Amino acid sequence: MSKKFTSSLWFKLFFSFLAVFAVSVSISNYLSYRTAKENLTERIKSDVRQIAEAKEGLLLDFISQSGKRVVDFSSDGFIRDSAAKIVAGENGGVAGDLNRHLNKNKMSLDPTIFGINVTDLNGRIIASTMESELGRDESKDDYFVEAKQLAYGQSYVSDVMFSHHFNKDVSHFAVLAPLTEKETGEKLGFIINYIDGDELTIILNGSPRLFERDEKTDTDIYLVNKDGLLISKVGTLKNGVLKQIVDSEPVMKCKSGEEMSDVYYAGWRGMSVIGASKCLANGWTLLAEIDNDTAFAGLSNIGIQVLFSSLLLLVVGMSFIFFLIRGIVKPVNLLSEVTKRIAAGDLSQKVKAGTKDEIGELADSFQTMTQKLLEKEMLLRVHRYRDRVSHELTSEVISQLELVGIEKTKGEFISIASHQLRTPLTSMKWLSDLILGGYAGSLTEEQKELIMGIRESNERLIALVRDLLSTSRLEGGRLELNLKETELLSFLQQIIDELAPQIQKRRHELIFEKPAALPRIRVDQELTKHTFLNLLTNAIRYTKPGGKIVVSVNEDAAKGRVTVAIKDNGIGIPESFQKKIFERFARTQEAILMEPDGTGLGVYIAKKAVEAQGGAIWFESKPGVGTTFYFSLPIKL
Amino acid sequence: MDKKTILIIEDEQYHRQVLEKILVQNNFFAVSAPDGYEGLKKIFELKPDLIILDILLPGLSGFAVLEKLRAAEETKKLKVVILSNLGDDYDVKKGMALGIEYYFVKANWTPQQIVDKIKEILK
Repeated sequence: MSKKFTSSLWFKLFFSFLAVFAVSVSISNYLSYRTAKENLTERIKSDVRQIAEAKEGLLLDFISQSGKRVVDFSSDGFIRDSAAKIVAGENGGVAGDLNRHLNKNKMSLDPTIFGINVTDLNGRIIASTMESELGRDESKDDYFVEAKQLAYGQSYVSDVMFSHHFNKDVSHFAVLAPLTEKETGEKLGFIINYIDGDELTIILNGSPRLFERDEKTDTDIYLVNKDGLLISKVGTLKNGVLKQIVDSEPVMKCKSGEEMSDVYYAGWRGMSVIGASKCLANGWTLLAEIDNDTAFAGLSNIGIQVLFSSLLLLVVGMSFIFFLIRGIVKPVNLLSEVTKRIAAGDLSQKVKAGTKDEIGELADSFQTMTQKLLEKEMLLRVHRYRDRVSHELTSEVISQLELVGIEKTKGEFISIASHQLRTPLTSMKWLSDLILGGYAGSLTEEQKELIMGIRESNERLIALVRDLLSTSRLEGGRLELNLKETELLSFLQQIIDELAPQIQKRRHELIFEKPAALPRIRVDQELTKHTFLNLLTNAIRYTKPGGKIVVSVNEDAAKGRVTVAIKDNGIGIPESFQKKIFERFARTQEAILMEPDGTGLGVYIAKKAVEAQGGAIWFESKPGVGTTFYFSLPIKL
Repeated sequence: MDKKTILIIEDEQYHRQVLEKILVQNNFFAVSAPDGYEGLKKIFELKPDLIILDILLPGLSGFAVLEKLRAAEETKKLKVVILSNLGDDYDVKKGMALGIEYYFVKANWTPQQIVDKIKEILK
């Protein structure tokens, strides 16, 4: 093919299909990826919210426990008495005893407490689990200021502090309760439990040591205080530094008490995360966060799978499209090739697409068209030939007709061939007629008889040619009915008259039973004549001399039909042969013996001629008794 | 009564011969032409009372002759019968459309029958 590949149907179809396919695969994959991501996001949001809620519960429990613990300590009689004595200025080992009491009996009760101080109302430490604490002034510390309002039985939990206490530089927070005189209820000072800040990390994450490894858990759970400082450990030790400022969206929102769970930018590390926040009463914000990378790690696998499946689909799709298009393009190309050849004048091309789809139909229509064209061309040739009047049929036309095998054209051929036969037959007929008519001088009886022999044989040949021609016309479908309003009885009478010489020759008696009245009917006179002539001729021929033939006509007004019956008392048709009687060239042995010149086409033609006019033909016959042939024709066609 | 002139346009020699003989015998003035051109020439020369026309003719076909004589003012009303061995509906209809008097299928007629029919037409 000289066609440019890019302008070929193949190319266009393939790439259009491919483009559509690729785009739809991409869109559907993208949509499923997005849906998966949305679903995952929703699930993670709900997960982190649940984690945050659970941890908040634990944290509040812990804080409440710590409060109860310090209130419990503040009711301790020994502590109250000792504090009263110290505040009152009594000395002499009271403080030392209290220090020991706190150390031995109190601090051991709660492992989360790493130190206990007792202050007077001015914030001066008057007793402590650690001697180095004694005498320090706590009055300036925020928590001390806050706690001044507390009544007996109440407690206060401080924010996380990063100050130096108990020789330690760890983050911690203080839980304090007022100490009162047992009897008077007069405020003496405060008892303060110091709790390691790591406890918060443990509550939130299970273990503080986890964060000393250079690893990271999936979920970051941490606390930020009201100043926006990180107060629990998070992430790895390297980056989860305490006191780090965290000013992410949920921390800001918590200032107005608004909790959230969403995707937001900047967790403690300044990364995009999915997180949930809980705002605590003391201004702390509890956060549970998963960074996007971790959250969607599974999704990136899905992404890769989606990509792979897309590629796979594309490859499968491409091969499918390839075969699909081949299925379309191949027959189209085939069709186009054949069309070209037909256009070049070769009408004998057979068009076969090999498919049963629309293209197959197209090919079939094309085949029909070519066939029609071919027929037309052949007819044209035949007519041209006829008009050109070359009297010999060229072998070219004959071979082409045989090659094509079109009935119609065959018919045309037969028509011409018959003409060719008829011309010399006519000459013979006419010339012998002239001789018999005395145009060439008078003849002896013997001469006359011999010429009559020629004349009769000649007539039989003419009859045979006529029958063949009729058969071909009736079979070829070329027949056009030429209906004429006919007075049937006189029409039949004419034919009977034509056959009168034959009837007389065989000394038959012919009775024509005519009905009183018969409507005029529309028939094709030529066809009807054929029918009646053939049937009557048979009756004459196949009845032994001196027989009786009855022709009758009846009208069946109800059915709108006229039936003609030709009854003879002839040889009859053997039963075994009755089924074959309407076949071409069907002749019984007896008939052949009786009338060697019959063509075997008469009844066949009669049937075809009747049926062509919408009529019917049938018979009753008994060997040795006789035969009745009937044919009926519609009154109005 | 003047003898009527019949022109036979017929290429088959025997047919011409028989027709001439029988027509003369029946008191006609018979002239014949063996092909279409000759026939056409004689039509214009003689203006015959009736033309017996074959269809398959050398040179100019019977239908072509018929069309030409129908086209000319002076010949368009001439009586024509077709005498041919072609007997298809197609041919009969074509002939009838061109205004012929009768269509004879040669083999089905004897010369005498043809002459009788012609006499009837010329009555």
